[in-house]
Amino acid sequence: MNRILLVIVVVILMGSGIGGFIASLRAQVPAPAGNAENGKAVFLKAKCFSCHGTVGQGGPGGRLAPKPVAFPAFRTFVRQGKVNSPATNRNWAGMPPFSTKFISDAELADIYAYLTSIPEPPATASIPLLSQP
Amino acid sequence: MQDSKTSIDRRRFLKGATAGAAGFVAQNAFAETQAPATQGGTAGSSESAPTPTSPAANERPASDFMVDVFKSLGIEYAMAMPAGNFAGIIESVVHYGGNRNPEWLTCMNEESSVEMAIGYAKIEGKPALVCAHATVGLQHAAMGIYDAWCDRVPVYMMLGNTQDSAERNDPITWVHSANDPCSLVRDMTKWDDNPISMVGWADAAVRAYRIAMTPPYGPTAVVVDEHRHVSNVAATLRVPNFAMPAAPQGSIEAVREAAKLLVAAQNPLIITGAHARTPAGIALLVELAETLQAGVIDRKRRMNFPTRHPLNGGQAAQADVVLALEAGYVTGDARAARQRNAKFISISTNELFIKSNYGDQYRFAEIDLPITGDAEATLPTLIEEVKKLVTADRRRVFQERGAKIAEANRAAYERAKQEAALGWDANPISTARLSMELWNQIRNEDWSLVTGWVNWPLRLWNMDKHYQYIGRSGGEAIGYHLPASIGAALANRKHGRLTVAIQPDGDFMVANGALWTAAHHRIPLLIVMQNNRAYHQDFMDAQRIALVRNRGALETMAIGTEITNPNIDYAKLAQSMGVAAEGPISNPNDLGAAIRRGIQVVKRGEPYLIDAVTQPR
Repeated sequence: MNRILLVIVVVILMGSGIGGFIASLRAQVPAPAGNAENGKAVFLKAKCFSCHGTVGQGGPGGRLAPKPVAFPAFRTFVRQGKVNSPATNRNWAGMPPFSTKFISDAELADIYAYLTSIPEPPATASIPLLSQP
Repeated sequence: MQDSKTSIDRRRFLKGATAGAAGFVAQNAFAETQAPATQGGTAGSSESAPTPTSPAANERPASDFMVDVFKSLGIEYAMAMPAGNFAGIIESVVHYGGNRNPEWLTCMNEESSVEMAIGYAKIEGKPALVCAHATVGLQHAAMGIYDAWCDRVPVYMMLGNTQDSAERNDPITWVHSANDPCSLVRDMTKWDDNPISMVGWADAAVRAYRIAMTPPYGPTAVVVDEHRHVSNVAATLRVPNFAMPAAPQGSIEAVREAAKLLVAAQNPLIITGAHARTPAGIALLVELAETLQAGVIDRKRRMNFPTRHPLNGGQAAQADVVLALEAGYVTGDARAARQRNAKFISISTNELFIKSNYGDQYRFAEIDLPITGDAEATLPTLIEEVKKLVTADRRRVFQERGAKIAEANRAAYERAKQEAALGWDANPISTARLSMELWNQIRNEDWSLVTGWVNWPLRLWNMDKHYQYIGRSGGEAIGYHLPASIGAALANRKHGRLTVAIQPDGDFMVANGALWTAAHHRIPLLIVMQNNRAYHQDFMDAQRIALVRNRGALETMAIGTEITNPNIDYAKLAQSMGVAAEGPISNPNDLGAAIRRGIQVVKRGEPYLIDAVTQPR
């Protein structure tokens, strides 16, 4: 059994690399239960929408919904951020880190629940303004 | 051929002789105590304002002569906030010139005057006249001038000043005068002059126009003396001849070398920023791109290349030869090209005229083949040299290359539509939805989009005419879009084009008096607000810094950058200035009908504003 498991692990590592393997494990980690309604309120209060739009459609910041990234990646992105500061980059830009001082773990789960609840947009073919020449 | 200042000198002599020393003291005391009450607008008036005299039989008013010069240059409009020290020009334009060519437009801020002239020039391809007070008006105008300078737009300015200190007889005139007024904007103008006589002024006026219209285009300024321009001049004073300058072209040797590199390249790429000074510039680039089957990245400081052309786009990372045409900031492109051993060619007038103080020259770009010359003027020669080198074998390779680029562009267009669908029904309205609601109702019209902040139109609209897009502000500050839109709409008016603007709210509030100008002069323009209720870029910056520093509170991060509490009612603001308006509208399903109503008003020849509350971007 251990040998079979080892073979599976080796195959996965060869196929997707160590990073991909770890990501695949993380993706299996279920997101904590959250309240989508409160998540929307926190999303707006924290002004996440200023970069990502009120329904996570993206803007100056990346698209968050529908189908947000797995929760561990989402949490890491929010908590650590990814800022290009003037010291390391000429452009001061990127995702700022939100510590628990601003968004608690429970609120983060609520935001994630909100993003997960956002439905797929209609197909472009079904939107007359996007299907005409 | 000598201008006459005798009549005004006589007036001043008689005034001084009768008033005497006691009168002089009294006059100054009056001026000091009553000065604020006599001030009007930015420019104000003064106790020492000259009084014109009737011209003798062999004379004419100097400012009438000035109007003849303006007419000889084909100037259609004069844009100005009034000021006493060029009042003679206003009077002559209206009563001598018949208020046609130029027609006088009343502006409410000198920055607006210049920004309007920028919008006008970007559509019409030539300058309007801007008049401003050389001291207090020019300081307002400076930001507009900087926009024109960075954007390489011809703006033609006359600045009123009291040159002779002996003629500054009261405190207001003293603080409203300068010895060298243009020093304030010399770092951002191509040329200026401070002539004494009207003969000198006429030479300066024609020279200033020619310099403004010689690529690289740019703003020029000539000082007009308050006293001289209301004096009389010899009736025989002659208007100097003017001929439009030919644009400088790149050297033939360098162009041939560029052609060799482009034809031999596996993956040539063309980057343009503002090469299309005229409609011909678009057609020329289409011809070059199709001959080479090369992709084109249009950075759209102007409308340079059709948005739906199969070659619109390209992969910079794969390019082995890059041709930049008046592309502006190419430092990063050139550096990346060097890193992948690609050759970088530039055709630009940028180094023909450059000043050192402001950073519009950008970081030094390491270009392998810099060709100094106007790109549009050089393109015919380059196309000819490229065609000479293209063999049947190369043409086959080119066609395969072009087919791949076209396929990639089709995919990019579909991707853009899918991205536009995200947040399609969001409230407030997504900028993609706003753009497409607008496009839906103008696409079958002869339309012109005169703002450049929202980029969805560039991704999704079918643009192929030079007036369909005019870029953003050169200086990338706010306060440009509203007056520039109005100036562009003014230029479009005689062509019967439907002019539309997607107007950012922060920019709108810098100079919203321009709306009154649009209403007063019946300039047809549909303004759809992009009202995100913030100086949004600044909000993002402030929020980012607070979060990185891990201090403050969510509620305090918007201090200083949001435009809320109260929300501004843009429709009421517009209505107060005589512009029909509606809103605020935040439900996307209500926007289409509002745009339809607005277009009906605009087609009647009037401006209309829709306050659309939008997503941040």
